[in-house]
Amino acid sequence: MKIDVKIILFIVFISSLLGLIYNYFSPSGIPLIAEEKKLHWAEDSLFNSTYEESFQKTDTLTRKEDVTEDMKSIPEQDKEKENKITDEDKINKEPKKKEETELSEPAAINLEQAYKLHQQNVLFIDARGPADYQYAHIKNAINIPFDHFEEYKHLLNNIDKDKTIITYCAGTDCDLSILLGNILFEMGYKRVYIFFGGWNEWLEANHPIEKENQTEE
Amino acid sequence: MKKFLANKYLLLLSRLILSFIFIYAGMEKITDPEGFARAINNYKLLPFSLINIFALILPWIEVISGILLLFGITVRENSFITSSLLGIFIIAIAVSLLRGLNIDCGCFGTAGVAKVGIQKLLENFLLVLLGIQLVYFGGGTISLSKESLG
Repeated sequence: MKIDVKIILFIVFISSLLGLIYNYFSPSGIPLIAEEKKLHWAEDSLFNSTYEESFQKTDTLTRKEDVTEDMKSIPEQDKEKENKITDEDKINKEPKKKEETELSEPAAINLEQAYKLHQQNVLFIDARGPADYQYAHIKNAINIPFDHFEEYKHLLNNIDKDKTIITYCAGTDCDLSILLGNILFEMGYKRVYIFFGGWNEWLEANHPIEKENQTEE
Repeated sequence: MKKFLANKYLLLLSRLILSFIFIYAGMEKITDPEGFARAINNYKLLPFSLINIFALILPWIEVISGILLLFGITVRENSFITSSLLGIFIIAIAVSLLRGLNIDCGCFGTAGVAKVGIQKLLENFLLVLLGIQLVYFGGGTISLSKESLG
C-alpha cells in the first residue's frame, strides 16, 4: 500500500483553487469571510403600555420624516397656528406618535416579550420546515419555511406591512428566524421581531401550542 | 475474506458507489454555497470566520476526488481523501448527537432535509469502509491507475 502524499496535497490544492475561482465568478457566490450577524435586542419598554421611552430610542431619521410629512398634510390655514406652537409643545406631542414606531432592523425579543405579544394576538411566523411545523407549533402561528420561501411567499399577500410580525425557529441553534426576519424587513415589513429563543423555549415554558389538529393550552 | 475484498469487480463497485455519492453530494453543495455554509454553521464546530471558506472548498474536494475515483485515477490517494472527509463528517455528526443538536445534516447540501442522527452516522461509516477497502486494495478493474495499466 503506497500513498503519495504529494498527490493528495495536489488534489486538495487544485480543488480549493477551483472552488475559490468558481465562487468568484458565480452569481450565487458568497464572501470568503461571512459578516457576523448582530442581533439587536428590543428594549423591554417597547412592549409596555407607555411607549415614551422606546420612542426616544428609535431612529431619529424616521421621526424627522414623520414630522415633515405631518407638516405637509396640515392645511394652509392651520400653518400659522402650527408655527406658533413652541418646541416644547412639539416634544409633548411626540409620544402620541408612539405606535408608528419603526425599527431600523429586525429586533430580537425574549420569551417574556414574545409571550406578551402573543397574548395581544400578534402574528407569529414559523420559519422551520413544514414537517416540524405540522408536528407542533406556537398557537396561531403560520408557517413560512425559510428554505422554501418562494413557495410560501403568497401567504404574505394578505398581511399588512404595518403589522407586527414575530418570526421564530427551533431555538438558539438555528438562524432561520433571523434570515426570514431580514427578508421580511427588506420586503417592507418594518415591525419585525425575532423570537430568538424560539420553539424550544416556548415549549419549555408551557405556553400555548398547537399540535396537528388539537390545541393545548 | 482478503481475497474477496480484493476482487477487482467488487473494488470497481465500491469505487463507483463512493464516486457517485461524492460527486452528487458535492454538486448539491456547490449549487447552494450559502445554504451549505448555514448547515456548517449549525454544527457550531468551526469559528465563524472559517465557515464560508470551508463551505466553498469542501464541495470541490468532494467532486474532484469523486470524478478521479470514477475514472480510476490515483485511486488510493483519492480514497484516502474521501475516507478522511467521511471521518471528519462522522466526528461532526457524533459530536452534534452528543450535544443533542437537532439540526439538518447538510450531507447533500440543502437538497435533502435529513436530520443529523444515528442513520447518518451508519451511512458514513459504511462509506468509510468502502474507502478503506479502496485504499488497501486499489481501484480494481477498469481503472486508469498505474498498477492496473501496468
